[in-house]
Amino acid sequence: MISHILNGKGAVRNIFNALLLLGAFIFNVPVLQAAENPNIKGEIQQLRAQMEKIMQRIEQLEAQQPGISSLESTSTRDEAKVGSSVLAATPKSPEVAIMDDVSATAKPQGRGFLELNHNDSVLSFGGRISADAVYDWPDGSFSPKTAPLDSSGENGQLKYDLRNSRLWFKTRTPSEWGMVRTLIEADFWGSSGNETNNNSHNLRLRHAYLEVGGLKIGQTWTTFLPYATADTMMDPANINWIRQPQIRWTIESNDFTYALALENPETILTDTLGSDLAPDDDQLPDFVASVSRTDDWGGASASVLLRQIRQDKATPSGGSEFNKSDEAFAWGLGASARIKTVGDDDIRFGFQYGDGIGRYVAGQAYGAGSIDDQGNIDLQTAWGTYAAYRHWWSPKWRSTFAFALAGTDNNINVVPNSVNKDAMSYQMNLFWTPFENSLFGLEYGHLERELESGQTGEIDTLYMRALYDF
Amino acid sequence: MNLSVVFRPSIFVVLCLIVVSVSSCAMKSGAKNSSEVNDDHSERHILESKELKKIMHSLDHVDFHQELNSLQIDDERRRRFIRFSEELIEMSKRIVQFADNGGSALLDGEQKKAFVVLAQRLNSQGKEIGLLAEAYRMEALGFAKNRIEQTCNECHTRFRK
Repeated sequence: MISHILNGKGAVRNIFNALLLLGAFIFNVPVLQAAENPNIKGEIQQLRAQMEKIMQRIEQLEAQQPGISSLESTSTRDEAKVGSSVLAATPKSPEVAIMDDVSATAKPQGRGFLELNHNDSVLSFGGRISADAVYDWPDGSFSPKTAPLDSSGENGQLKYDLRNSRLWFKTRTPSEWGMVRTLIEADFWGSSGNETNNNSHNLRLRHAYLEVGGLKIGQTWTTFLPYATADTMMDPANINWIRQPQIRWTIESNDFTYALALENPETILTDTLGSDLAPDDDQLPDFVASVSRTDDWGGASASVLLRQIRQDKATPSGGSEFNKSDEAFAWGLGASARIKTVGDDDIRFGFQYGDGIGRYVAGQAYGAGSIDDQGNIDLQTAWGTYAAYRHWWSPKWRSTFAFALAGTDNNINVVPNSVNKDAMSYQMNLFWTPFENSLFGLEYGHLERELESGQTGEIDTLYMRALYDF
Repeated sequence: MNLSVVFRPSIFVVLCLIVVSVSSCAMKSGAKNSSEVNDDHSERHILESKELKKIMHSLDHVDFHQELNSLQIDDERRRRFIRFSEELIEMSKRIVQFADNGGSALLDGEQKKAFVVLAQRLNSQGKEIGLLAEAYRMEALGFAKNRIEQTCNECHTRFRK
């Protein structure tokens, strides 16, 4: 940017402009003070001397350009590259250009990033330390699928872990198609280490995708995921956070964002013993279309899911291979909204409903349908809904109160009455963010589930978290 | 039904109550006795400042869901920074218009110049933050935001009591 100012036909004029604007923008404080000071002439002389020093400094930097440390030079170089695409579209005023120079040379820009010169990329890396402490009573998981039943509950258990800690790498590279961005993110929910000795949990892939223009290819959250979700640490009963490989095309137009996606299919059916059956015989991708809008009042989204449910000579648990194949086409609808209320508070709500929606709701508590002894598929409806209110006690303290429901309509003439029927949860928390990128949270949650037999189970969980994003 | 129709009035009423309580000490003592133009401008500026403060708070990472990944947070912050930029540019234009229309008549010549320079600087910084956001320069946006805070504070220190 400095060379941009100093080089070219209008270099002299630009230098003159730069001097004037430097005086206006960098030294406006003394200039303005001088205006209130009777000894204005002396102040102006001082300003001139300071401006000369600054110009000398700029010339020094210009001469040292190749030797400037990578951190200091990154933003300047990066802007020069970006300038050919994005910035060039919007001519900069000299004022903005000068301020950019000042910011670029005065301080290292950002945290944890470096420049890859060979392909004009900027690589950033970062992560999260998340130290969690969980106390359950009875011992079990806060899940609509596996919450402990009354007959199986034990007394509480306290667990510490850091498996929610994360590492990520991301890049951005200017291209003719716009900015190419990539992300790889992992956490430590891979194969589990033992608590006896070293708690050496393994990495697990969370996200890996590239994005250019409106095109996104790779693994990330499903497009069917609600736009607005409750600000909680534990998952409410209605939701299932699905990450899966996909190809998504996003179009932004007139405050609305439209997305079409083809996502990895996976059929899960409930067999006659009540077990999950994954035939792995899918032939068509799950298709998702969504529209969302963000505005001053908050935001909202609606989405449609279409999917093929298929088995081809699958083998049920405890049985022999079916001698036929079968398929059905399932659908689902989802909507969610986040609406601002008083101050920074907001209310959020959403629902998902569908025939054969299965794994897309309620922590995968329900199958997309049942499969009988002959291999025939019968889809079942499932739904989930929630409402949550987030209140800011102060800019650094906030709480969320969330309530969620989920349920399904099992084919009870095919499946046993030991399958899940519905679930309910409520949560409340207190989050404190004493400094940027940190969070200390305490959350209480209660979850109940009911089987078709009428048997119920419930769990209470106290969740504490100390989190820092670096 | 447009939801903003339902919620904006309630927010507006709350903000109006706040404005009524603080507007008496919003400007210099000289401004208290100035024209209605001055009063209208200061009240509107206070409202706009509160809205900008809300946006600035929403730019912090604390506001985002813990499940969002880094690119998603970048996207959301970028969108909010662009909106922030638009609000700043509009606000700075109104401040300059206010000065041009005689609203700063109570200020002497040099003070008026300083007032306009600060408004122009806010305008340039608003444009800068929009350009940085458009270019995905997420690392630089924090510093750009800090400079805007400095400009706001400088102007308030000089011209608001």
